[in-house]
Amino acid sequence: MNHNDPTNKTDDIVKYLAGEATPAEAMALEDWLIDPANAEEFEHVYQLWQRLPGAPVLLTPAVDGEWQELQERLRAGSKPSLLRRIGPRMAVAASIGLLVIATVGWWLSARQVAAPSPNALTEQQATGADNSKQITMPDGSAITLHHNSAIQYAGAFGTTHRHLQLQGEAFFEVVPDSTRPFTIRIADVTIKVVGTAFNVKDITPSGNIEVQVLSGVVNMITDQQQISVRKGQSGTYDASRKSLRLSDTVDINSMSYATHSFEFDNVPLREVYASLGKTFNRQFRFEDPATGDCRVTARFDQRSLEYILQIIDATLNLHSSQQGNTIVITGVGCPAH
Amino acid sequence: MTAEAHYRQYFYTYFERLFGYAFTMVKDNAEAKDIVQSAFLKLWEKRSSIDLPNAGRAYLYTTVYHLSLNAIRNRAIRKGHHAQLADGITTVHVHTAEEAEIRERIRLAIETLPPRCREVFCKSRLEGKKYDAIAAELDISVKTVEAQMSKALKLLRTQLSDLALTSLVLLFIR
Repeated sequence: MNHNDPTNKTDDIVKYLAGEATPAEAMALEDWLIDPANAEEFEHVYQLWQRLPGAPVLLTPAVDGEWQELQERLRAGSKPSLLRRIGPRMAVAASIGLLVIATVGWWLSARQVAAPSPNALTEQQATGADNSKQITMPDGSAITLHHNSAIQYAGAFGTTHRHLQLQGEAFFEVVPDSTRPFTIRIADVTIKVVGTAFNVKDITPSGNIEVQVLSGVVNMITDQQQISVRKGQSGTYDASRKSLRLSDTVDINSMSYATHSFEFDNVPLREVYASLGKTFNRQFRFEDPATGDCRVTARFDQRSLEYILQIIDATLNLHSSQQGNTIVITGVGCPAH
Repeated sequence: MTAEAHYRQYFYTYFERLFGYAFTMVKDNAEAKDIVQSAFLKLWEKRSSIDLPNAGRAYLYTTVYHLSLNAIRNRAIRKGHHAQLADGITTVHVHTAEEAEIRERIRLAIETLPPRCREVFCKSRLEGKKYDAIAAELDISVKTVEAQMSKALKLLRTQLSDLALTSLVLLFIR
């Protein structure tokens, strides 16, 4: 093998990435990666590998958290554990930590029984079938509640905790504050947030829950599983299988009710207007129905309806005029692409 | 250094790498995590019988390897019982125009691979089959499967040479 040319290593890299490397081969490859030029070559192949269909998303957990978990497992096991070997003084300190946690847990649950408690979900905001609602929470976080949705939270929201319950669909822009984690409970799923903008949706027929993240990171947590959903990704809770799944896309248009951002990729004008109509609460009527077949590729970020209509009119040589709540589109078919 | 100190050092040095290695095999984050945790639990039990500084690493990699193969085997058995679990949820997504174009280019590049090469690549990537299973199915040697996979990646890389860069740019502007 020519040691000067890292591209000769493709065979070994592919074998490793495909999950076919023996322990010895995996160790040899890692040793080879210590050289930055080799690491760069690996990165190139890896980037390509990840772009190809069927690539699972690697989410390496934080080492510190894993070390803690391992300690707990070692402690729980009947075999000699780290804890017992640390010495009596450390063992006492550790058990005090446990005791404190237990006491707080008891205190919290005792408080919840007493009524009216500051942690009872006394506050509620809800929307009907035709309206969405912008809510600014006591901590400054903004929530856009979609149609037929509701949130409930305690009067003490924002003082010691930021916890709320959601039904339906909402878009969240959360103010970062690591001392008071922002958590949302929806059906069987808990969503834990680190300052971010994202959309949560309870998909009614299936009972699935979808979280789409526009910025930052949120964690989706169930009794059995936990995943991190990052910017540009969606997490779905499959209610029938009780499992979480990650996908590398977000649907910008599904959040338009809150963001007023739209993304159309070769979409018939009829559907474009349907999306706009839902967000801006308008009806659209075509003088010539054939106009509805014109195709649109465009992206609008937080633009007014007037602006969007002007752009579409100019692009497709149409004219739109408003009559009450209805917008009438006149035009002579589509310019050939 | 004591065995405990070595053990901790091993964890911090190798956790991520072992996780990555397990993930290449099981392709599931939760499973990979459990496998690496179990490997370290086993190492702790063996700490007096193993020469930690010299043999610890090899022990960890070998354990992760065997646990991963077991996990894949168990999964195959489970799948046999519940065949319907195999199909994923269908979600419809709107992609950006560039994203759609890149997907189309990748699809075309895979389609233009030589037939045997494409067959091996698809069985490995899309059907998630192990090399030995593909070899048995196509009646070829594991070495041939290995060579075809490597060939597929090299050809795709030539065809999509500008793409690795594109994907990085996309990540930044999003």
